[in-house]
Amino acid sequence: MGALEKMTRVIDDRHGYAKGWRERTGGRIAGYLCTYVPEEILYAAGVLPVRILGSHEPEDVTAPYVYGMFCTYCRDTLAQGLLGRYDYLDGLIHGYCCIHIRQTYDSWLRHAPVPFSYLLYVPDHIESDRAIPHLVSHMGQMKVAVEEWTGKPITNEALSAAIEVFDTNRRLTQKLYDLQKGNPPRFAGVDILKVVLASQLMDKVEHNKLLEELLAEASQLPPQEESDVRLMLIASEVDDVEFVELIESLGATIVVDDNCVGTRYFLGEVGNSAEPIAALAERYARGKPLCPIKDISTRERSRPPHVVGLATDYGVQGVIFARNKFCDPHEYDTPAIIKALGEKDIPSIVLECDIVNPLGQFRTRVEAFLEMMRVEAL
Amino acid sequence: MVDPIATVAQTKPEWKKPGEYEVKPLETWGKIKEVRRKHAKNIWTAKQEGKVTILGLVDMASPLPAGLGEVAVFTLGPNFGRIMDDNALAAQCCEAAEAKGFGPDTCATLRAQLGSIYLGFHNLSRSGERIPLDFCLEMHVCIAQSKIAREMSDHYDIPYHMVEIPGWTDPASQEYFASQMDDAIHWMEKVTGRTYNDELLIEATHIDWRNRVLWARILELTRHVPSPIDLRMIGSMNVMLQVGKTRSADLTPVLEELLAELKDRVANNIAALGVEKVRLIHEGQWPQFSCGSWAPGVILRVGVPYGAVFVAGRNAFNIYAAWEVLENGSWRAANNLEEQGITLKDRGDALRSIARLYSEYWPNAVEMQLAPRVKHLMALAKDWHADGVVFNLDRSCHGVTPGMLESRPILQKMGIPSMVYEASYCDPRDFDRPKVEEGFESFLEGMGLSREAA
Ligand code: SF4
Ligand code: SF4
Repeated sequence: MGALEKMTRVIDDRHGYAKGWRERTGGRIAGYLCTYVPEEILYAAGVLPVRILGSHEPEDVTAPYVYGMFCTYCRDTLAQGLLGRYDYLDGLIHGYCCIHIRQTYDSWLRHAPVPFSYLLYVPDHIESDRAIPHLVSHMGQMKVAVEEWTGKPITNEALSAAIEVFDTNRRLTQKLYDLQKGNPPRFAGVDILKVVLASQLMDKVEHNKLLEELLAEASQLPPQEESDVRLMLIASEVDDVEFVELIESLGATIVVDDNCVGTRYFLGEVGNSAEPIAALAERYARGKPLCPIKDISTRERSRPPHVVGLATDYGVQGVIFARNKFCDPHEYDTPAIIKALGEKDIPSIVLECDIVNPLGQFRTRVEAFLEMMRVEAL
Repeated sequence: MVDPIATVAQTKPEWKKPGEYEVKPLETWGKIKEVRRKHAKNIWTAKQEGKVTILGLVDMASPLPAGLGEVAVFTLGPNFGRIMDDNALAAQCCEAAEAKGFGPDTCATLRAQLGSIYLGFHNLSRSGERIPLDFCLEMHVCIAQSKIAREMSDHYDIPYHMVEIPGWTDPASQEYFASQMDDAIHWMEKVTGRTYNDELLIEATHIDWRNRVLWARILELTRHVPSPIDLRMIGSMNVMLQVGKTRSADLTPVLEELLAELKDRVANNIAALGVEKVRLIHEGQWPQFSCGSWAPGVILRVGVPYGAVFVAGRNAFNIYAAWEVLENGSWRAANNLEEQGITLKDRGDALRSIARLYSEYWPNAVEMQLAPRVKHLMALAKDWHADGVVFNLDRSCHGVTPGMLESRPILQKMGIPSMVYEASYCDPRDFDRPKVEEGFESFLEGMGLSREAA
C-alpha cells in the first residue's frame, strides 16, 4: 500500500485511527477546531491533537443550538460532536478566532461535555507588536492548564522536540507543494488535500514517515498530464474531497490553495529557540498566512498580496473561491482578493459550499469557467 | 455610597387591578432631544469649526480621541437616521453594497452604511457639502465592523488604525488594550500633526465613567415594577449617547436630571405604559427601519395593546453603561472614579482606566467568549422580573446572534417563555412585518394576554 493510500485510510477511518493511537500509546486525545491552536503544546504533553472536521452528511441535530445562518463548517462539526462521533475525546481546545466556530465550541461543551476544555485567546490585532507578548502570556497559561490536566510538566526540551516534529512536517509538506510548481504538476490537488487532512488527524511522527515515503514515491508517479488548467482554491474551511475531485475531473488541477486545511494550516515554521513559547507565539501570529479574522490590522491588507504571490509562484491560471455558506469573514475579503487577482489577469469564480455540496450545479459552473479560460488561452 | 437598587422593588408584586398604573410624560425629554440635536448637528459643522473628523464604527473607548481637542466621530454616519427612515433608500444602499460583492448574509447595518458611500451621500450634508474625514480609528470588537471600516477607509483614502478590545478582562488583557491605545495616540499625532493633550484625555475619562455609571443607574431603575421607562424610550436615549458620546460633559446634567426624575417615578409608581401586565426582554438589535432610528422599534410597540412592556435588553443595556458584573452574572451599576476614590494623574492612568471601564465594566467584552452571554441573560431575566424574552435572530449580524438559541432551554427551565423572530437589523427587505407581528401576538396570547385586557 502506497503512502497516499495509507493516509486516505486514516481520513476515512479517522476515529478508528485516533482510538488505535490511544491503545498503542496510552496517550490522551484532544480535538481542536481552529488552526490557531498551538498543537505543539499538546503534543509535547503526550496528547494527540486531532482536527475536528465535518462529515458532509445532512444533519438535523444542531438547529436547536445554532442558528441556521451560521457557517456550514460550524454546524457540520457541531453535528459530529452531538452525534457522539468524537465521544472518545479527552479534551476539546479552541483558539479564539471566528465567532461562528466559537458557537460550535460553546454548544459542544454544553451538550457533549468533554473532560478537559480550553479556549486560548489569540489576539485579533495580531499584526500589532503588542499582540506578541500578550499571546505569549496566553500560550503560557494554556501550557499550565495542559500540565494540570495531564499531571505532567511540559519541559522546554519536550516543547522544542514537539516543535521540531511539527516543523519537519511543515518542511516535508512544502516539498510536496513544490512539486506542484512543475508543469505538469506531479499530484492531483485532491491528493495534496488528503495529505494535509491526514496530517491534522495523525501523530505527526507517523505522518512524517508517510510524507517521506510519498516524496520517495513521487518520481514514479505519473504527472497530471490530462489536466490543462492550473487552478488555485481559495477556501474557508473546505475539506470535501468529493468536491475537489469533481473540479479536477473536468480537466483542471488545483496546484495550490489558501485553505484552512491547506497552506493556512502548515505554512510557516516555528524554528529553534531557547524560548519555545515565544517562538510559537511568533509563528502563530506572524509566521502562518493570516486567516481573514486576523487580517484587519492595517489598511494594506495582507491576504490579497499573499494570495497573488502564491498564484504567481505556482503558475495559476484561474482561481476557485470555495466559500462556506454564511462564512462572512471570507466574504468580506473576497472583493479585494478578486480585484487583486484581476489586476494580474487571473480570473475567478465564487462557489458557495454547503454541508452537502450541490455537485451537479458546481459542475456546470466550473465547466463554463474552465471553458472560458481555454477559449481565452487560444 | 447609597445603592440605588435599594430603592427599587426587588420582587414582583401581585398585579393590582390588571397592572394599571399612572403615566405621565417624561419631563427630561426636551433636554434629551436638545442635546441629541446639538450633537447630531456638530458633525455637519465640524470642519468649519476646525474639528478633527473621525471615521470609526464602534462607540467604545470614547475618551481616546479627546486628547486631540475638538473631534467629531462618525460612528454610524450622519445620514444613518435618514437611511433608516426611508425603506426604499435602505434597500437601495444594501443593494449598492451587494453589487460590490458584499452578499446579503453580510451585516446589513454595514451594508446600509457602505451602500451610502457607494451611492455618494454617506458624508454629504443636505445642503450639499461634504464632510472630509481625517482618519479612521476602529475599536475592534466585531470582525464585520473592522473589515468594513477598512473598506470605507479605502474609499475615502484615509489612514486606518485599529485597537482591539480583548474578550478577556484579566490585568494582562487590560494592559494589552491600554498599550494599543497608547500606540493609537502616537499614530493619531502622526496623521493629524496635532499634539495630543493628556489633560483633555484625563478629563474625558472621568466624564466617561461618570456618564456611563449614570446611564447604568438609569437603566437599573427599570427593574422596578412598573418600569418607569420602556425599551422604546431607552432606544431613543441611546441615540443621544451615540451621537453625543459618553465622554461629553454636557450629557452629565441631562443624565443626572433624568435619573432624579426616574427615581421620582419609581417612588410614585409612575409607569412607562398605563398597563404593565407582562415584562419582556428584547435580545439582539430590533429592526431600525420603518419608523426611523429616532423612534426605534416597530417591534417594541406590538405588545402595547396587550399590556406587554419591554423593560430590558442585554444589547440595549450593554452599549453605553458601566456595569459591575457579579459572580452569578448579575449586573449592577458601577461606581464612578470619584466614588472609587481614584484620581487619574497621567496618560498611563487614563488609558488603564479606559481599559478597565471597557473590559471589566462592559459585559459585552467578556461576552465575546459566548458562554457568559447565557449566564448574563439568565441573571438579567431574574433581576428585571422578566416574564418573557423575545429574540431577534438577526439574519445578517453574526456578532449578536450567537448564544441566543442556547439561552432558550435554560429560560424555559426558569419558567420564562421565549420566542424568536428573524429580521435584519437594517435591511427592510428581510423583514416580514405581518409574520413577525403575528408570531409575536400568538406568543403574547400564549402567555394568557389579550388585546382587550389592556
Ligand atoms: S472563518 Fe468561515 S468557515 Fe471558518 S468558522 Fe468562521 S465562518 Fe466558518
Ligand atoms: S455586531 Fe452585528 S450589527 Fe454590529 S457590526 Fe457586527 S455584525 Fe453588524
